[in-house]
Amino acid sequence: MDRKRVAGPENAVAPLVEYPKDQLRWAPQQEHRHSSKRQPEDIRPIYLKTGLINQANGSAYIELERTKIACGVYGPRQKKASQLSSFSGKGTLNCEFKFATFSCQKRRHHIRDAQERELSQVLSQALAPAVRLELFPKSVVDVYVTVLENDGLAACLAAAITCASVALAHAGIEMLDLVAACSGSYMTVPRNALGQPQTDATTTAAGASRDEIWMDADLEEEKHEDGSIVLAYMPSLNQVTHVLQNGRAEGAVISQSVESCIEACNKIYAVMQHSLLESITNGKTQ
Amino acid sequence: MPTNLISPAERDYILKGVEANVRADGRQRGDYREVSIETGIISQTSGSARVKIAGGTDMLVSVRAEIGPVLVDSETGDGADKGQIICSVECVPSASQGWEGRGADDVNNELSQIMARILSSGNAMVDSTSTDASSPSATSKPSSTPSSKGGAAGIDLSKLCIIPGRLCWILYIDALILDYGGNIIDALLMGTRAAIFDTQIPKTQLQEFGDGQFDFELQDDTEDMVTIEGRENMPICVTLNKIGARYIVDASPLEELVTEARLTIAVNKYGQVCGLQKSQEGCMEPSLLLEMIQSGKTMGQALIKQLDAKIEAEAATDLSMRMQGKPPQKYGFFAQ
Amino acid sequence: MQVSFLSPTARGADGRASSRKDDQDMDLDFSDLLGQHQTPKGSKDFKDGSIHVVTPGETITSDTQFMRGHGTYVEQEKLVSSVAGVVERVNKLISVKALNTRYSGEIGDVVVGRITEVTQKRWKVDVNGRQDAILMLSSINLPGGVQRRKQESDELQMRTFFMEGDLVVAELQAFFHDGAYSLHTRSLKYGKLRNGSFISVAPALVQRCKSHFHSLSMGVDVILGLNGYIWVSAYVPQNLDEIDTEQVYSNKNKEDISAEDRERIARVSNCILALAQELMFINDTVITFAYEASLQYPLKDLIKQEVKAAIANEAAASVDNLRG
Repeated sequence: MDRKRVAGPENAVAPLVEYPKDQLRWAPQQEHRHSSKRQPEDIRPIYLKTGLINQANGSAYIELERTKIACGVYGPRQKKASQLSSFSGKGTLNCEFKFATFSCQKRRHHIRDAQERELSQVLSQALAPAVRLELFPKSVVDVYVTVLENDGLAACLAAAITCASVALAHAGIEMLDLVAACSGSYMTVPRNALGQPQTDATTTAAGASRDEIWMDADLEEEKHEDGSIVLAYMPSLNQVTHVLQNGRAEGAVISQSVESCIEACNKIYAVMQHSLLESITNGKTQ
Repeated sequence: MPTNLISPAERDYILKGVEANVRADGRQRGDYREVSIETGIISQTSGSARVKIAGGTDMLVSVRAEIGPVLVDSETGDGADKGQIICSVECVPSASQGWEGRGADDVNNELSQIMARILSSGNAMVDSTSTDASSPSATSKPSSTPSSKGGAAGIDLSKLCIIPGRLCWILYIDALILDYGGNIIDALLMGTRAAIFDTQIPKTQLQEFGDGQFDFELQDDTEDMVTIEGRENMPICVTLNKIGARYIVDASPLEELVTEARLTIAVNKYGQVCGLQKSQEGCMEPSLLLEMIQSGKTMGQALIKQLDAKIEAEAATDLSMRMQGKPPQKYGFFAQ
Repeated sequence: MQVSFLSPTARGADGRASSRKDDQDMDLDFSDLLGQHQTPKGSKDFKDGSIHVVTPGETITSDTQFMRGHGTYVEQEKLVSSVAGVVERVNKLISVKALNTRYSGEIGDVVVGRITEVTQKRWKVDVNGRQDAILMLSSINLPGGVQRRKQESDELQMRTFFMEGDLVVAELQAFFHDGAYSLHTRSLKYGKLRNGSFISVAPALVQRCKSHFHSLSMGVDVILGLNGYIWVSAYVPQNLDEIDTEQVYSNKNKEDISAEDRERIARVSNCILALAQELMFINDTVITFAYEASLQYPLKDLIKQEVKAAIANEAAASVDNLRG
């Protein structure tokens, strides 16, 4: 018995949602992305600022239109006795990824669910190669990521990695490089010779569609994707620190998406550098 | 034996051995260990398989089909005509010292999420009309209607629906890791494929009473069960472990300790990538990443072919036993 | 790429693959375990040298002249077994040796162990025993001379000698009052293990011999720990006079381990595992026989069950030939 769902009457039927013709839901169309007039390779404008949380050793806030994430970094600090299971010459990177209860379409719980636990793990695996953990044995670096507004899961994870990496740098933790991350969605875009938005997607034959990779897709676009990829990358060292892909795609599409993500990561890297430099020149580092 | 300790000398020996293409147990980088598979060993399930990799890893995958309400996306109305797949993985504490108490929680969660991502996410449904073995190159996208989203890794979920908007089959895929000897993920997906191939669900007949009232009837004829549609399109996994500048498949526990970065590549029989995940705290160059994806793809396709041959051979043996009126011979837990 | 997918086969009680029908034949054959290749039947009389297998609670003898040893207890003047295993008798002492058990040590045993913890003045070592064994700082050779005295600075840098995860070979020196083993490495043949790989077998299979350090003829060194932990490594010429004491605690493997060396090490490791799989005694002679038998197979086939069985059988036949 599923106690988490509201139990309706036994013979309840889910309502069939029908949209009026003039209020058509957004559907992927050629050169017509959901938010603004982005090209497939365009990412959303990034607002990235350090020093949001005073209590933390380092912090950062990232905003990509409707994706908003705050991150605080504490440490390196002494591991608690409970964490000290055995001696290790390396420090630990402990990441906690949390969606605020109001951040998603459905209300999230206060307790970390399976997805949040997994994203925490992904976050720590993506950041660990950059952080020089060997320099602080017996210590732990805590990274707390809070998603305030979620507009596309893959993009949200990518933004969280970017944000956490800047927060780590802001905390003065020794790193080999910053980690930038970007997401890409595999879209099947109906091809239309007239360039007109095609309203009825069902009439499109499979042959008349085109595969595209839309970078940094938002929630509405994500609903129509065939799959997505999140890639974390250290631009100066030319190293991929994490890759997470789901959905089915040809090998060539994968290679192409990896390259597009790296390209986008290089752009994000410039923003990250800029925001860190700004924080230093403004003397706001604590 | 403490499970997560390795000496620097061993680490170095394994690293250089991978470089020299002679691994500690004599295998080369691309060699798998022997895998033994047996299906249909648990009578309570709709389908089951036991997978053992020589040298330790041992697991049981069960598929249970149960009737439940459909899960409808409240906003888009998606899913009203779809069945569901729910995955869970549990590492038993007796398998490894590190898994006692809550120790296995993270591993369980990670494995369950990987399974769920590969088996029930994205738009991975293969349109059975556009893709057949003769034209693997055909880009087998499902017809691009938004509502076709949600197909699970090849399995045709719409065939699992019983009464649209109300009832469907829910396939619970539960895996129990009984022993740990490295390379759990690959074995997990092999076992899942074998178990799904073994799965048979009763036929259902929809009855209309008019007035929008529907009901269905289960046909309890055990001779007339149906198999899961689209099961041959399910992906399996190849996990590549990056050690030094090289990578190996099917790592042993010690090799997993030396692994810097691990890349799990899910591939279906058409050579399409159905999922990709890096784990462990290491990184790799983009060129190596692409090379690993490419070789994972090739290996995965070969692996599926051999696995299918094995599953079919076993199914044929079982069938011939049944024709002779004997129960098929299963060793189950008496097997070595 | 080739993967072999197999159907499982039932494992017979004699440790060899056999069809299930044979399982009903409950005559147990532990002859391999004892290195004797004859087929004893389940006779209750152990005087004629045959095997007597008992389970916990089973009366071994009601003859009061015998003394009670390990794995037995006395109940109503009867000697009863407390473990499942084989009855062993030395003069009037009767003990039962369990088939599958943790290592129970005796003073003087050579063991291979893994450091699990570094604490005040001592290391804890996993030796497959009931408790972690203990290696005291005072029981090791400090670098810079055999006779050097322990200093306070040594206590502060214990991890430079042995670190968590390190493998050591040591001798069992004494028992603590709580039954824990005290180890020592105060000889140049003991110490840190390098240049090879580690395998583990059942402790009962390693035969107690004069020496547990072997340089096999094919150019592979083997250390057979009596606790079932075995170290197989590349041949390093041993000249106890010329060992650089500074190098004793180095973590560096030697530079020139060739691919052929590695293949030989892997082959020896697999041969030992084959012997263990078939429950055969492990000593240097048997390993050599198994190695010779293995040469007809390519290296990568040695992880296959049936190849392992074949190698072990052939090695057993060679042992029989040797005995005449």
